[in-house]
Amino acid sequence: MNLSGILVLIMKDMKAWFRNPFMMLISIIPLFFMGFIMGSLVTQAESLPTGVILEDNDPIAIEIKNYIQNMTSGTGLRWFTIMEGSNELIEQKFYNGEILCLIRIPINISGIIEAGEVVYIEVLINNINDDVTKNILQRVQDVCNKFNNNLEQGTFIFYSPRLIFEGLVEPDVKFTDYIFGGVLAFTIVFSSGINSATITAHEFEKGTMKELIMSASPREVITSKLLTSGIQTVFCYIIVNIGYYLLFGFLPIGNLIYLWFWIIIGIISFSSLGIIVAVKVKQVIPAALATMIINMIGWWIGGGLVPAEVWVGLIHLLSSLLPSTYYFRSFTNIVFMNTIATLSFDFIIVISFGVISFLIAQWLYVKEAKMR
Amino acid sequence: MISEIFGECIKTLRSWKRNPILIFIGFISPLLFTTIFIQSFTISEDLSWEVVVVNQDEPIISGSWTEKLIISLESREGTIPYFSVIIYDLDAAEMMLQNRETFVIVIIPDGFTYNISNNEPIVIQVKINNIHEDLSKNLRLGLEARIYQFIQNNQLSTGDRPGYMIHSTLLYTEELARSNYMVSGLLVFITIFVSMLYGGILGSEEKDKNTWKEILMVNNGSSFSILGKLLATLMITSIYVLIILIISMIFYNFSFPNFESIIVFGTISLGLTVLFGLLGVLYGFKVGDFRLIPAPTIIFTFLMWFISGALNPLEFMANSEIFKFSPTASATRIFTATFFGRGTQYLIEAYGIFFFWMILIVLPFCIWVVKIWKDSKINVNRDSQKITS
Repeated sequence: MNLSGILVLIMKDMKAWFRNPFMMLISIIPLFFMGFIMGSLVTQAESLPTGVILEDNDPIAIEIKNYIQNMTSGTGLRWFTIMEGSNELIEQKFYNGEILCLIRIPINISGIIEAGEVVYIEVLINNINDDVTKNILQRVQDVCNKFNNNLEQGTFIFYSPRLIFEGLVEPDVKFTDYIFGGVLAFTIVFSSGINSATITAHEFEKGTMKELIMSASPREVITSKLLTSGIQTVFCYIIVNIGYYLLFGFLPIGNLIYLWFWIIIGIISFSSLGIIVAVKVKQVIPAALATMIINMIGWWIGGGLVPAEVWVGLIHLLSSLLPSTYYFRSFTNIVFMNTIATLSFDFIIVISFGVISFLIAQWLYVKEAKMR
Repeated sequence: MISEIFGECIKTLRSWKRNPILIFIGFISPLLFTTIFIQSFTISEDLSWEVVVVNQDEPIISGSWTEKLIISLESREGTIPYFSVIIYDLDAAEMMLQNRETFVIVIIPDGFTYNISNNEPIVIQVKINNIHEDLSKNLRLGLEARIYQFIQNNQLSTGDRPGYMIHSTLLYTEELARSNYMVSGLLVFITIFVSMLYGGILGSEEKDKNTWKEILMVNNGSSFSILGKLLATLMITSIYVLIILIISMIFYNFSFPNFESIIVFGTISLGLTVLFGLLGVLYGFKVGDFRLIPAPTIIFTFLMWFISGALNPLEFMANSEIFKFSPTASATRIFTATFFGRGTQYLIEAYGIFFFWMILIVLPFCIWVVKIWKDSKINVNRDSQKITS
């Protein structure tokens, strides 16, 4: 391989990239936009707009209401957003759809408990879909569990099992942070694929492929395209990461050596996919679109939005077949837990994919070169 | 004027027909997204996660408290997620948690049976992978629901002790699966995606192919071109939406509940197509570069769909209620109320917001069209006067 030849090809592609600021921005803005909207505006866990009606001023009923008001998730977000107002107003809000849940605590619950009976907390649910129903029921069940334990009847105390949760990190990683981490991993997979696809398809589209074939060997051409794509991807990654830090204060907490090792492995492994698509499609936009779609599906079910281990059935099978799943797993491990527990296994999967796709890309390119 | 617009439209449709890759991508991308999306949520309706149980108490034998706890954990009653239990020792379980082969370990403590039999405090330790707020929320609440069931079945229903239980009442008699609920959002997404993508691609065509000058040489040429391309976008979008509807009907059992819903669907889809198609065409005209259309379109429409209550009602998503003012959110609400009878409380407001957007965007557009029409009429009169003289 002629290194200076490769360098010349890289310089040519990089100059073309920097000459066209639109093309450069187009690789960065979507990632920013994605993180910005999904991270800052949309992806907070659900807080249920709720009304609590007390039939009397029983001290336990007030205690239950206060508890409901202050219940929080693992990240400190309130489970319920309590609407204040008269009982009539709360009911009206429920039937107008402004609140999704109405909790009615019956009269004289202290007396019912003293009598050794069960108190039924009435829950009215706006079951607009089954997910809303599920969330309301489970949150109120949590309230019941809390008050069923340490329940005093006179001088006697009743106990029931209580769950104590211990997370791998403290506190829970916010959905927004997970999205930022997922988008950073996506930046590697997405940018490396899309950059290599566009710079390769560009040669076909502009009719410069013949000159390229005559000036360098297929391996040199593909290596130069991969390296160019790699440099562009690192550039995109740094810009996106700085942007997330400046706007949201998000910074990966993991070991930087592991992180950059994994970034480079990702670039090496996922760039060839873009070349395969470009050689087959030969047009910039369709090639970029196809690569984008493949990568977005990989992001969605591979663990960019939620950890891939939550999937079951067909999606679980699909996600376990995707190399991006293993890439996202180690990336999120490093970024959020500072652990490399799965790195060796994930490395084998990801790098094997990279080698195979590189060989396929080279084979397809040679085949194409011979045809010209 | 009409003939110019139709001429432009037919020319555009012909060029679209000649590009099979674009036809394919415009069709396959929303189809793939929606299929995978619906699939992932259809599965979650019967969601069953593996929970690793470490039993440090007495062996699990028939009728024991540990067995009762396992039965409650594995119960398929009530709300999802359901759990299937696998038993491991603590070291193996912790290794699995670290390697992300499982995301929850329930440790039944030593003395569990004794404590529960003798009314002593009982603490069950649960180790979870909490790198995702929503996942850990579902785990925490899902396990609490199982404990609730355990207490209900073994302590409260037996009448041995007082306590608290839920009596729930639903506003609608039948439950609506979340995957069905999301159909409305998906229809909105497909409509805006296709109209904006093709609007943009067709809009950028003239500058991209260097035929822009010829367009400008014709009186009102650019206006006719915009209108013709918008008309072509409307036709293309209608074809795609129709295909996706047929697929949804065949594979996802989607059906229109009545004739009125077909009318509503047609009207709102038309409105959305005009709105987003126009946006696409104008953006395409502005940038004039085919390469700058797909990426922003995908991201923009994807996010519009995401923030429009397509996954869950906006009231349910913290700080997201503001998005109800978007045209896509109001369209989603209208579809949900029309197709499934859910969220009918929001219907009037949603129609109000949707038609506000229509008036805001489409009315000036219509005024502009009328102005062009008048101009073209004046030009025709002038030309005929010249010929006569």
